[in-house]
Amino acid sequence: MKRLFSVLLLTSLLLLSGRSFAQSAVDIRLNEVLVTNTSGLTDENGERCGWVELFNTAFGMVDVAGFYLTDDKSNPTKYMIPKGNTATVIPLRKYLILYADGNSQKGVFHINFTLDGCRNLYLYSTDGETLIDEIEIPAELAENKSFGRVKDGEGKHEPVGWSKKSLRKSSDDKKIDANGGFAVLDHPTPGYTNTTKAIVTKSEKMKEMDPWGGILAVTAMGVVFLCLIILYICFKNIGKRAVRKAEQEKAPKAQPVPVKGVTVTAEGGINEEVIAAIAIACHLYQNGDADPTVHDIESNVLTFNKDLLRNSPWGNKMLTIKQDPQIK
Amino acid sequence: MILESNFVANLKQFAQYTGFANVTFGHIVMILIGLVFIYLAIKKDWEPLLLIPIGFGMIIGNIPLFPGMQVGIYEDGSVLNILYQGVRRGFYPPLIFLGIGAMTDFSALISNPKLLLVGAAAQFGIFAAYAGALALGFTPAEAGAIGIIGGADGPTAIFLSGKLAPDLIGAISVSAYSYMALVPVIQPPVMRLLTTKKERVIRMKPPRPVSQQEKIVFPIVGFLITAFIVPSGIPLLGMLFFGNLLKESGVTRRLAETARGPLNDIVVILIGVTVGCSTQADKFLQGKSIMIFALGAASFFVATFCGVLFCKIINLFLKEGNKLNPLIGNSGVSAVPDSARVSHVQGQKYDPTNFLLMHAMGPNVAGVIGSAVAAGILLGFLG
Repeated sequence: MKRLFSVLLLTSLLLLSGRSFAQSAVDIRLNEVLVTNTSGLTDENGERCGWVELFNTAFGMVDVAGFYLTDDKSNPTKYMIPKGNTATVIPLRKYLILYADGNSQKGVFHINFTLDGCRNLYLYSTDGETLIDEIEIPAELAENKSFGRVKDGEGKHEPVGWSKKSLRKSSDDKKIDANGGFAVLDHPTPGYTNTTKAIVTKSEKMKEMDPWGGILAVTAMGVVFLCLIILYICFKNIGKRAVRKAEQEKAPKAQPVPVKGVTVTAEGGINEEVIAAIAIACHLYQNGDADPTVHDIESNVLTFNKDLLRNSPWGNKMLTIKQDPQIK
Repeated sequence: MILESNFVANLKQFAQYTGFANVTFGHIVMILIGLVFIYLAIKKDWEPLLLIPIGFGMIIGNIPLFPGMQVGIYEDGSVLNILYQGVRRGFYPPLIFLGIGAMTDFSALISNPKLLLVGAAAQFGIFAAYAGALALGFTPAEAGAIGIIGGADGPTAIFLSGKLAPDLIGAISVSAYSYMALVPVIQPPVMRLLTTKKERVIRMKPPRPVSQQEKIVFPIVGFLITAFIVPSGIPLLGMLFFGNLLKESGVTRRLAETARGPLNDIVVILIGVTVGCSTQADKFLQGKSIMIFALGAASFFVATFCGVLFCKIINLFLKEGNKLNPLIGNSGVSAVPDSARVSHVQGQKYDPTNFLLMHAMGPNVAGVIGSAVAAGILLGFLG
């Protein structure tokens, strides 16, 4: 059982490692090609020549050292990307430029053939047999115009039936998709994304649509007014309801039940008890020898023996503690 | 001998790092402007809470620096740069709006909701400045940021310019705050120009008492309506109404006090100093800045004009006794509470017994809502 488990584990690991290699290899694309370069990119020596851009479509680094590039399918190992240089590692979603000046002695990324008259380019894996990608260059490609994928790494220059599951070693059954996803690029972008279409900002759109600002002004003022008109309508109604409610609360309620010994005025005015309380309070206030703490002088309120005031907030701890809300 | 030459070389190197070696005419001008701001704040009492931090920030930001020392506000990772991110990324303005909400009493507006419309009318200044900026060659995004100066709301101006035109943030915010401080100078001539003596003494119906329930409902309903219509204004509107709910709910007194007190003060200090710092001579002293100041002034005039005019138009439809005093129209430009105070002072000049302050606070706070909505719209269209 243990042995079976070990075999399964080993097999899985081998499969996984094989898959990851395959994925790494097949994730490289011939992204853009420029044949005649008279005013564009220069190499490290300041010279201009045709170039080939590789793009790593993977979300991991891929080392292209040992990969083969050729313009002749019968000679797939025509040019090998040199090994032993860390610069051949393409980071995720990044690019690598190869200079097609026909002199590979000039540097690591100088190809030993030029692109003059070249119609096809092939990228082979390190085994020199596995075709990873190919590109068919239009014959009429003008100078300083490049040919490549409209969207980086996307396009259908792939062998038919090619998939990540089965990497074919032959490219005989390939075909170029009619739409392709390839195009002549007016503005070559070596080392950068091919998506050169300028992003049109809202501001730029607005400049085209409304150069004098009139439409925006009218629209925006309309929205401001709309917001505030809706608020106005809401609060006008809420206010009306609040006023009605307040009036209902103010309206005279049922006559209070007379307390024994106390009469109520016929007009429904102030209760005689209240009048008596006010009179006593006034008496106490005018009487100099009364307890001065009885009245809250500061707020001009005459009070009548209100016990609570004897315990000022300074002295009564209960008054300084927040009370729990009471559910009524 | 070698020691001596090393010493001299060190001194020379040190001299290169001093401000004296790197000073330019622009630095001197900006430092002088900063000093004028401080003078106006202390001597004239013009918006001291803003002009002192901005003025001193201008001095800090215009000390000539040897580049690469990682101390300047535009140098990545410097302390000032980190503090400036609150302006640049726009998280100070919503915090200020929280404080504004927690200190604003919307009672005047709730009791007389038609004052909301006066606040809306005064936002015309924003779009007049927007059109003017376009005519002067600014991009629509820059024009939107400049236009919001007409909203007379510093935090809104900073918020929007941070999003739409970060390069102009210094000029726009200084312009906005300067004109807010100059409201008592800018607005009265326009108010007098548009009103008759008879109109200036109109007595408005006293506002009715507003119940606690209405005060609680206002921020909730207000936010829901405005945010659903202009979701891009959520940062400002959300914090404004949230702050107000803290105040009015009656059960979050401590939070409301913190929002309108210490928190607001901290953010005002940071926003003032960093905005001041951002006015470095090389970025501030440009032809564009002069145009921004001119457009800002124009937007204040237009906003005041439209606010007062709108009151007069509304009066055509109101019965006698319900009419608005057109002198409160200017307060629709927000600039809380300065423009409301201007209405009151102007009203008292013609009738010392006529108290317009409470009435003017209605359009004043409506202007805050209106300018936040306008900022949201501009952000939605141009951001």
